[in-house]
Amino acid sequence: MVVHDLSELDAAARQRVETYLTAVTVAVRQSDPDVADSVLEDLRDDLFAALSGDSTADDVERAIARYGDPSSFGSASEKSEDLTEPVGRFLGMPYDYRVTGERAMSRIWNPQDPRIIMPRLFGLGWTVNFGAIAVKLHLIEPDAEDEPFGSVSERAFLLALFVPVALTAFVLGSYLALRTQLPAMLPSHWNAAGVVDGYATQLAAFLLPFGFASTSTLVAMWAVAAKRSAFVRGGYIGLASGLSALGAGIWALTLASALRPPVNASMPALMILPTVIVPFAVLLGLSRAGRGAEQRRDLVNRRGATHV
Amino acid sequence: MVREQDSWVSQIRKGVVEAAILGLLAREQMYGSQLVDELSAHPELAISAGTVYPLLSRLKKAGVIDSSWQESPVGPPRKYYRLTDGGAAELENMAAAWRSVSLAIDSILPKAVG
Repeated sequence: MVVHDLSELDAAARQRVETYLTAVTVAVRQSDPDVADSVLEDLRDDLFAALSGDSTADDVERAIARYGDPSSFGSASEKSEDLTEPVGRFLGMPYDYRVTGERAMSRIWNPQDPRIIMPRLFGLGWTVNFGAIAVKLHLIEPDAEDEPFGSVSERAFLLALFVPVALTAFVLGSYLALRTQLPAMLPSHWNAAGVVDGYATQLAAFLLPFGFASTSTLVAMWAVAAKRSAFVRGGYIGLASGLSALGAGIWALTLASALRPPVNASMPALMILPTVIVPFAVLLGLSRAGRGAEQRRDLVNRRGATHV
Repeated sequence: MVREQDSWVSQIRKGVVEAAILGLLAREQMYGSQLVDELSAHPELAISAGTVYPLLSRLKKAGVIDSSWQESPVGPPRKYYRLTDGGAAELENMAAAWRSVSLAIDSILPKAVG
């Protein structure tokens, strides 16, 4: 009475096992994205031990019944509405971008971790942990929020989303307004001294910064509209703020170089600065909004209640 | 061998940090940086803020501690942590296990060593 591989089961039984294990994986990963793979492997091995090559889908159902509902594997009570959302499959591999999203976001906003330089966002290089900077500057406590952005209101998310939207609108609007006055070739590259050393066509010079700004802003808008987890929403808005600030900065430098040359040598550096400052301000603002909401909840309740 | 010993000591520390936090909270409710200060008064535990805060999150998720914002006599409100009933029971188990393990190891280790 043991199977070693899913291929030993018939199609219906195999599908039931796959569906169940996927649901459990999602539930577990949602409550703790870093849970060890061995926990899930143990469950699979345990389930396989109760099955044999000629087990039917009904046998699988009985075996599964011993473990209970997939959601019981995660401390998922407050997130239970998320569990009904679909999980995708790519080349037969289940994936859950909510989890990878949260993992990535925990690199750019993790006030509990004092490391400012964090390894590998999107699997390459390093990234800045803005949360650690905010803690170092005494702008927020490491434990100011139970869950990052977990108590942030819908309104505050929309307000934060306005930042990348406005920066993207600036790039698009100024392009449309100034298109006829701009030369056919626009500055597209500056050397370390701030002198233009490369040109591109008007459209190409516009599309690059606009692409940065609009793509990331659309992703952030999608995350808000699709009601992704609070952490993912906040993270994508922060990321979009940075990329759209980068786009707006490059575009502003392009316009300044084309319309009011010569450009001051320090301007390219100044245009890059908002790429760091804007997402920092947005993430910090969201985090403080979350802290404020938690405080109102606890402090008002306490004042209202009689002490026992 | 030195490396081996270092990792052994850090393994032990890792295992007892939770007990240390629960033990402190059993005395009185505390806020985060207060806990960090109390724990860093014991340098042999080698606990930093970077380990305390993630652990507090985990203990809260596990339901052994709870937290709430409270007005502070000086300065802004603070998030205070306290032991739950389940946490108090958990701490008792930990304390009992710790004592029996440490008794057993003490009786095994030769007196002359250390």
